Amino acid sequence: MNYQPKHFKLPNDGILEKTDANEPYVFNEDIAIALDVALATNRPLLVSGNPGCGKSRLADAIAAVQGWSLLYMTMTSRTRVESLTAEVDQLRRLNDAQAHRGGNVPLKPDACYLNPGLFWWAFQPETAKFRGMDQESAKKYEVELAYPGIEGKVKGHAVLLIDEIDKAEPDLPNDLLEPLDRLRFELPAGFRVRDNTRIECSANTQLLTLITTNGERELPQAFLRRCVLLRLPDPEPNDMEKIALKHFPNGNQARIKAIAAKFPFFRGEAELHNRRPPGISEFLDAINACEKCGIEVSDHKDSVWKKIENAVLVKGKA
Amino acid sequence: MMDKKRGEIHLGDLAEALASLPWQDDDQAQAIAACLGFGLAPSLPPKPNEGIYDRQSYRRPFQTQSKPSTKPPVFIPPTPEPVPPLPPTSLASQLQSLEPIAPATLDEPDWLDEAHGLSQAITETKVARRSLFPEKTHRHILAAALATRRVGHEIDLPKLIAALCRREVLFQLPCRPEASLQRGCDLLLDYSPGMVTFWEDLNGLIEQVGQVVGVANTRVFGFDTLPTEAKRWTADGERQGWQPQKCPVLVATDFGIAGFEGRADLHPAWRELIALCAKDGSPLLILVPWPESRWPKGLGGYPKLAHWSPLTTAAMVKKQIGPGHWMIG
Repeated sequence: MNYQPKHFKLPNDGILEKTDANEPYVFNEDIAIALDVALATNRPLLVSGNPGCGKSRLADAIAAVQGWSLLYMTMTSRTRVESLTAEVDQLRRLNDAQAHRGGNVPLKPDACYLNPGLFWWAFQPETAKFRGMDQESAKKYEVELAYPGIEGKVKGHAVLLIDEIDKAEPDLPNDLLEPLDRLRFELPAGFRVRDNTRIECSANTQLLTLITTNGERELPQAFLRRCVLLRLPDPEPNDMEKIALKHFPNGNQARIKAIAAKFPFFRGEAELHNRRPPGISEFLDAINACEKCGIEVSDHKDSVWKKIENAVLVKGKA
Repeated sequence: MMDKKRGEIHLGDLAEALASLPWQDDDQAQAIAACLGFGLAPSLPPKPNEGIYDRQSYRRPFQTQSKPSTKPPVFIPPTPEPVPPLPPTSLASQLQSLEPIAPATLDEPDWLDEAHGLSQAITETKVARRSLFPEKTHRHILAAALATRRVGHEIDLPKLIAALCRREVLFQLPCRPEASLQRGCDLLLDYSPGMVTFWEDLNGLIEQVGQVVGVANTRVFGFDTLPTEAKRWTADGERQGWQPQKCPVLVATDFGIAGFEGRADLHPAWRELIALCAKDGSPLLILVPWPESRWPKGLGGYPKLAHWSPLTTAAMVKKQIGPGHWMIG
């Protein structure tokens, strides 16, 4: 790798080694450049690529390399911008109000019902923890929250992973323009935090928002034009071997090489039959299964390896 | 931290990135520009739709070996057989050179150029044509056409007030319905001879629906005249007939009228299709590329028909359907 990033702390040889806290990750020049550009321009990074090529794992790896906190959320068709910024637990609020009727216990402050979303945790983790109240009040009403992600060594800086954005309703990317672009969002009507009706990203906070897509649905142009783009290609057999050896440093190297060598064939077959090709995650699953069960790669049609092939790599017919 | 609106990525971002980042050669500078969208390569290449109806395979049984592929094969050929050992010394060749039968210089016949010219003349030129649902509006039209209603997140105040007045204990907040595309869509495309003119639009519609609803949520079927016989080929080469699956069904067809007015005799298969969808609770929307005056009568109120034309707007579709199809289950 020729490029030496300025903002991203690229590990030696571009490889994040396996530790108890993190899985290994092999960075390439395209990734290093895209990360550096996203950090330099302070723009979100939109990562696309085939399923299982390491898009989501990239966020873990960046957080581990930079020592930043990691916040993540996988999108579903029910995800709304409020669940990523701040939403009010109206039902609990209403039931508490009903239960309070005629009682002696005073009503809780409205902020007790405010649930901070990932953007709030990323922009102002210190206020999110107490739902925008002061620490004393939050403790008094027992509404203090635990950090929803993985806290890093460098306080205040975070990697925010918005995973599989194409699973959300088509309007969501447009709704995210405000928090992504201006690094702020409005609180629900009637709520204030430190006399502000909005939450803004703290001046000393560095944030990298990573958004992943499988390309299943077209994303709005306005959204695409605000993101730094990175497409992760399917790795070549050599890269796969390198990745596998980092994941299984004590594994049977000959077997890992044999499985990696078979991978182009599986991809070719998948393409020929218009099936989804197996990704790195499936490749690692196959190696893991072989390692744990002591299965050797074999071309015999009745071999156990063939069963592994069908269960983990081919996945053709249900 | 950032009080000003930054807007879309612009040349300033590129200049800032190039000025601050330690790029060393043109390739790295080009890669930086490409990350910001300043490049010739498409940022997100569209994925092929796995369920695309292939007319060729519709006519012929599926053959794995002979399946045409538009992409170059990516698999590596199997390891070649070991080369047989060669003898240590080469033997003398017994081949003899022969006198050429034809003279070395031969005048080319006149017709050779003509034939060449003819083959150039018949090369098909791609004429730019306007899509029946233009790029600017198709997202809105299809989102309006294929949305179903589900319980949303906005509180239904009249219901809530009524519950409070009755002093009911609420276990769930009454919420207003919202439109959603989560159910996906079944796309039934009419490839009958009368629709030949619109084949390109049919293929474009697959892409447009995939972009709006999501490729994984779109099942594409093709039929020739009879919609109840719509089918597709699975990845394993198996023929799969269409059955409603509790999701909106979008049909693109001319009902066999082929653009002629007054040919309103409807094949019974259409009523069967409507009955099937109604029984299953799957909303049915039919796109017809001909104006309303030519549409067949007697389809009843269940299917919603829309003119498949650049003049159609999302508002027109919403007027017919409302804020989404009601679905049970």
